[in-house]
Amino acid sequence: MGGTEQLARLAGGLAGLGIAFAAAFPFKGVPPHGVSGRPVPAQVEVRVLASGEFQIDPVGTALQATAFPAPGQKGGPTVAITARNISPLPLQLSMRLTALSPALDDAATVRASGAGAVLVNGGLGSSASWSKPAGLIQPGATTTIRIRLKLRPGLAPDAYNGRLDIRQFELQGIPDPGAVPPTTPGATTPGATTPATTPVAATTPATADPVPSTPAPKGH
Amino acid sequence: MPRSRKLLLTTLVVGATSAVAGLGVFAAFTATTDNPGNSIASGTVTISDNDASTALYALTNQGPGASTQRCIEVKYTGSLPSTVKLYRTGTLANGTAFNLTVERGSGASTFGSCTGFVSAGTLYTGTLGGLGTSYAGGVDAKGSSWAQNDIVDYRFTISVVDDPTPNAHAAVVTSGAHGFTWEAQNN
Repeated sequence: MGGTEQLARLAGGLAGLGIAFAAAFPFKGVPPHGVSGRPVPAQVEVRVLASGEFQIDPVGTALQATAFPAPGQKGGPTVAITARNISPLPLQLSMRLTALSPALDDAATVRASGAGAVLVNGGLGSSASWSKPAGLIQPGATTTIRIRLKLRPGLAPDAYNGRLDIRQFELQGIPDPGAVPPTTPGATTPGATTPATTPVAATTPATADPVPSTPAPKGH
Repeated sequence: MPRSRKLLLTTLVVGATSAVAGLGVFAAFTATTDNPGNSIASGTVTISDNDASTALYALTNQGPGASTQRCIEVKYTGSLPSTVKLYRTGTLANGTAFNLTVERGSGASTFGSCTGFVSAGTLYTGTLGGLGTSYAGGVDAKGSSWAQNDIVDYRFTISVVDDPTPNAHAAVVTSGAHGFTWEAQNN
């Protein structure tokens, strides 16, 4: 075996080892394409609805995010919504994010906080149900509700790439069971304040409570 | 050629011929098209107010000439355009003994208070008993269709009817407990 042949064998062996190594650890330490710490092209839109007991700001489309941080990365599309209690009672907060386009139900998580409490912390899909009442806002007081969405770690790009998720934010006030009714006009026993939600062709009354019996005017 | 080989060749020829014949029998030109991913969802009709289940007024010892004003805010959050009507509910007594005026407008800041209220029109003026008690008999709460996130404030002015008949008010005259309902029906 000549020197040239030996050199050729050595070069071939080294090349083979290199190819084998590359095949065994193709992306070791390097995230897959599109998830390299740069934003990924998943989209989310949040539309805010008005609320009976609260003055909400903004109302309408409050968030239009065209990208998310890659799964597992810090940060995420965030929206801040202010709510002022315009009812006569201290209210706890309950919220939900109903889906108009549930494209990221299984791919995204959501965390929402307000009035000193965490309102929602979990999968985006499960946020469509009313959250457990939390926090407390006094009549006339304002709080900021912050909502942040993230992609779950370890997702394949197919789970989020190019998807557009549209959510509708709703907030309701639940009278604090321990609150003392105020002396403002017509104070009565507090009750639940769930906004009526009735499907198509149904009717939805908003009712001012029955007025207690009124002792009468003095006669002439 | 050995006999076994002849037999094998014959079998192959017969098999190949049968296969060709079979393809001829079952051959066909085909084409399909489809329309996947269909879905349908209803819209919503949703309306709420800021009373937190608290009465708008609970008045006692009212005399003629004195009126009380209270405000309430109503919000429509349904996705379908709707017509909203206001009507009275509950049991009403002595409906002709009390006056009621309902105005629509904006600017009322909190439930009950009418500070900042700016009237845009009067929905109803008459006796408490004269206000309808059903959607059909109710008054149009805005005068036009409601869209999602429409907000309207209402000012209620309530008073007792002046009655100069001698000795007509020696005893208390009460309205009984009554309520007001805003009902939305999609257009």
